[in-house]
Amino acid sequence: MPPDALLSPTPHMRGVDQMYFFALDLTQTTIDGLLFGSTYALVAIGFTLIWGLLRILNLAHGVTVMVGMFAGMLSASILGLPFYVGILIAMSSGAFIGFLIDRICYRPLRNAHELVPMIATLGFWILIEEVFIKIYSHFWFRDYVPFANPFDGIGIDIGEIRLRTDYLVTLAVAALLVVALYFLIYRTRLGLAMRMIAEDHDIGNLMGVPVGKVLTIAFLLSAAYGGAAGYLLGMTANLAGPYAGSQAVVKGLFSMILGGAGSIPGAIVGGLTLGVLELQSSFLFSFAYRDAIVMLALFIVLIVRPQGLAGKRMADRI
Amino acid sequence: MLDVTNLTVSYGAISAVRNVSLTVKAGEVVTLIGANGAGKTSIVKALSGLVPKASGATKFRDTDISSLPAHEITRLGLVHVPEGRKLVPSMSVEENLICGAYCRTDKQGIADDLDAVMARFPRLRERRHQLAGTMSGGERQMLAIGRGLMAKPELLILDEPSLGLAPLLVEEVFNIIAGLKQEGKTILLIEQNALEALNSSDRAYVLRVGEVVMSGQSDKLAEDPELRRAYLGVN
Ligand SMILES: Nc1ncnc2c1ncn2[C@@H]1O[C@H](COP(=O)(O)OP(=O)(O)OP(=O)(O)O)[C@@H](O)[C@H]1O
Ligand SMILES: [Mg+2]
Repeated sequence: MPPDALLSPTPHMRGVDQMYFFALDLTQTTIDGLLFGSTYALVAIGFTLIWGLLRILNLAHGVTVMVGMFAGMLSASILGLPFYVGILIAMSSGAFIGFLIDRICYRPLRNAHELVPMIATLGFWILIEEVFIKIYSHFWFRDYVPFANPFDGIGIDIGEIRLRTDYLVTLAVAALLVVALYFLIYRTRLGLAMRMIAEDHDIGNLMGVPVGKVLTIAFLLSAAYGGAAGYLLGMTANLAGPYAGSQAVVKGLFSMILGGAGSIPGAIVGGLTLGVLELQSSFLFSFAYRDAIVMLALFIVLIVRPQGLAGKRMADRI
Repeated sequence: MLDVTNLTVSYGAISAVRNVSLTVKAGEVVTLIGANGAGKTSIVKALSGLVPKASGATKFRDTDISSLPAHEITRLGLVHVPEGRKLVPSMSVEENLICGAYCRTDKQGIADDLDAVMARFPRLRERRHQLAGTMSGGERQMLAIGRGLMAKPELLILDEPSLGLAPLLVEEVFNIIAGLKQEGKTILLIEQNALEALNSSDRAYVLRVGEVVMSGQSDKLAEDPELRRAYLGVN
């Protein structure tokens, strides 16, 4: 029952209308946050996979997002390739970065203290980002380049709520990737191997699992998911920027911790919650305070529920 | 079947195992006995590739496995049921058993062996959907042995299968070992329970601080006065 706000005869009615529109905006923002938050969930899943299997925070994960975003931008804006081709290109480019992370940061250092590969991923992140910014600023003289969004401006209206098509597509892709991941982990031989390794690498070794190969696959997979997230982040923002990787690291880790470090459901819950928190704090307060408010929320969640929103016992990490 | 010559295992500067040589022939049950810290676990971990061998040659069924990675050693049929069991607590009993058959591709064979293991350990059949993490210590040990059997071992290494079990269950574990021996399985057994271990094995090696100090037929060793005093705690 959409009331006719402008024609409302009394101040009292006008108050009700304001409430109505406020509630409408609040709902719209929540829905947008949930849809958009699925990109954060994808980034957090990438962190979670590597954390679950190796107990390493893969700080180079943001590079896969950035590379996915630029590969996507090139295929969408420059080559004019369709969405599904672009996202596959973004995922493959991300996976290539994952391969490098495995070969450079993890493999040679796997017998060292677990902090060592993590520091290596930090170095990889900084190095690649710096080099990339040099190359980027050589070609473009702006902070951002446009990312062609084939779904720009279109959406589905349900009553007065608008579902942006690009957000719906984002959610659909994220959901598809999550379902595929669950299928892989719980229904395939590779998944069985991953679950053994997540518990203890020696279990894998003793059961005849080529642990190193499975870990390489995990790096490829997590990085492909990062690449997909990069594409979706760029597409929904209509922009690609060279700092996307760093931002993704912050958002992804944030989602992972908010949801409950180390579990895939935690990564999903954390990502969606972060999406809503960000948009709501921009809407209710101001964009300027967004990150501070989100940080405060994380603080409170961790005090009340140290294991995160959907955290489980450490044993069921992936 | 297994030939170990001058095996040395080191953890950094400390060598936990020094120049140990031992053999296991097909169909034999061989036991390693020795006090805590004697190096028993280190030897079998080195055999299955979980820790590197500092030196020495290891041959398993005519293949040199001295520098093979662990998963390839398992694939050759050297199956190690480790100390502490190392199950996946978040998986069901049945899934843990399936893990044991990870290297195998014969679907029918795996299904048959799953049935056989569950027939051997009816408790596992009853609890097949229970999470391994919620099983009792004895049940977990049966699961660990069952999982080892699922790999179709040529040589089964059992590292302290009776650890932490009540006397009745210890008896049960030795019955299982006797049963496996009867079926002609080759077993390398590590046990704290030296007297029982000697009773259920063909040959034995006695270790002391990383070295073999005695070896021979188990029944002979069980009679040895020095061994009885030092390791069996009987006169
Ligand atoms: N990872 C390791 N790092 C350093 N030292 C180790 C390591 N593992 C074992 N050791 C040492 O090697 C020696 C032999 O240990 P091992 O576990 O092989 O003994 P064990 O005979 O199996 O003893 P138990 O009967 O208590 O199981 C011990 O002194 C132990 O402290
Ligand atoms: Mg031991």
